[in-house]
Amino acid sequence: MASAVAKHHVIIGASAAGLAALEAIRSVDRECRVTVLSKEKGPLYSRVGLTHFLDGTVRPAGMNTHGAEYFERLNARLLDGVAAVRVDPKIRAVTLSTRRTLKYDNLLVASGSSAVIPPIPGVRFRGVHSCITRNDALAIDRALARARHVVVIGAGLIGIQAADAMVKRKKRVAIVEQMPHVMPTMVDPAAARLFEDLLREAGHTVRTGVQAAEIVGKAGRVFGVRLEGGDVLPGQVCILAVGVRPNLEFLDGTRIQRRQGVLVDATQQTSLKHVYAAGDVAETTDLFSGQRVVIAIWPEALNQGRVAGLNMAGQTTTYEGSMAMNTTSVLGLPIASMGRWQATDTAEYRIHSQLDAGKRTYRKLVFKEDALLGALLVGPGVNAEAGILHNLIRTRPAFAVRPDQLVAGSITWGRILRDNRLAGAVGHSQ
Amino acid sequence: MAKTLVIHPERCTACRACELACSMKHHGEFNPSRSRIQVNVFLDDALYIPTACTQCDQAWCAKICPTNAITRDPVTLAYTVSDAKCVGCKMCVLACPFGSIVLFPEKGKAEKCDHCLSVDGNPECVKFCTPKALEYLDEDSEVRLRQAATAKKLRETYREVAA
Repeated sequence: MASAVAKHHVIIGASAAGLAALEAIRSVDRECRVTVLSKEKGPLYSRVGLTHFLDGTVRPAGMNTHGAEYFERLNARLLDGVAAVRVDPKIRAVTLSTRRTLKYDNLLVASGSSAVIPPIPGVRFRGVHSCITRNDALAIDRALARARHVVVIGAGLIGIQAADAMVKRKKRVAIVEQMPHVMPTMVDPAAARLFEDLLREAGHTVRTGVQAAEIVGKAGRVFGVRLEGGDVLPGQVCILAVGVRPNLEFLDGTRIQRRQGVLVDATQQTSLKHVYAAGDVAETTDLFSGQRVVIAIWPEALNQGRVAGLNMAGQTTTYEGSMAMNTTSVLGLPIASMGRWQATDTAEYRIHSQLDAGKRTYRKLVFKEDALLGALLVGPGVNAEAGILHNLIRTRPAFAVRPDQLVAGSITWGRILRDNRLAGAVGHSQ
Repeated sequence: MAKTLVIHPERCTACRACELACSMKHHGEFNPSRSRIQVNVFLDDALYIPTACTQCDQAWCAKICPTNAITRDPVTLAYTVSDAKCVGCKMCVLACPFGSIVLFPEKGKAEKCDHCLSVDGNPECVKFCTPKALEYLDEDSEVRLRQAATAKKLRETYREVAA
């Protein structure tokens, strides 16, 4: 039974961060009231699945996360298709898109991000789509029936996965990236080169270091993308994947501190008391450098949401900091990068790097003293060791495996067990 | 009752019948590279260590899965991946500290040992393990204690090696 003094937590956003917060709140407080706002109407889904629906791995329902029974079990109220339009921190109230007002004791901003639309002519033509909502993905899926060529503008994680999906759908793909190489925030130039070569050898177009100047069309429908310099790449569908920006319009008019995202402290609380933020909207600190960062990835949204939820429910918990990590496959070639993979050989860091362009394998490990700080992996061995390396980085001081154990070759749990058994401390059990 | 896959490396002869049995059961082919259990063969040390998913109580693969494709079987307590739900994003691969999630390019979906969802019989690998290096035992306190003791020894080793 909820008592008269039971707190009311309002969570804006029903994806990774928002629902991790809900579960965390319920893990310590069964009494309080929780209301979750979900802006997009319809079944809750994960955006991680969008490009995998497009490539045919799952049907649209495969992207779905939770149904009504989940909210029943957690005794929370879901407002489906309802957005926040204004927050008044003085009276602790959120105005909803339904014009109703909700009073809160604690508010979590977990509203995620939206696609950035590049400021070029032609983005309104039919056949031009972002790829960040279920409706975007369904629209792309329908538009593909009449497309032989697809242009993808932006080769970050979403762009490269969308391009890969288009290849699986038997389209001729052209990728345009304004940075010097594909996946600029995920891999270094050497790794990027492996993927650019792979795509070009398969007959696709990769243009880097150049901007799309204009989307060209006829009778309201796209037929290509003109680059700076004049080249026109044909495309009956064009996917915009130039980046995302946090959804924070409803905080306009408050004095909340924000830069790239909303600034939060280690408890995920913003500069406004009783207002927390987590996920793509939150500017946290980097696990290694302590610098301010927005790391808009699913795993950190879960971690931040959990920390925010516990603190909202009154259990003080601190967030250890964000760590970049990404993984995908392009044309069947796996890639993973995590932690401080960008570091170069200096007095501070030691780099172990092995590149085989012929076999398309690359393994770069970054050490600071004896601790593993980052890894960049390309090739069939990625899936076997990415999880082990990621956890070694995250648990640096507590879980030490020596650098020479790691540089010798792909690490497996079996090899760790062997090394330690040979070290003599684990005897035969019989 | 919950059961657990118990591995005795000292009994393993590296015959790899478990890998063949696993790949046949789940992929319809004898192909060690399609197996969810792996025998780590160290010929120089005459040491053979089979490894497979440990079915963690706090399973990070299941917690991180964006579509809740990894769920725990209420009877056997083994975690299994739903093909209809797995989108192939590989976050579970990044999350698993033991490297126990496998993913084959042609299929593009995560797989892991789920004890063949065996309720009363044995998982396929156990059936074919002649030297009994693999056993499927009730998860009784004795097994638990033994696992805990091994874990403790491992931790001590890590500390020594790290020191």
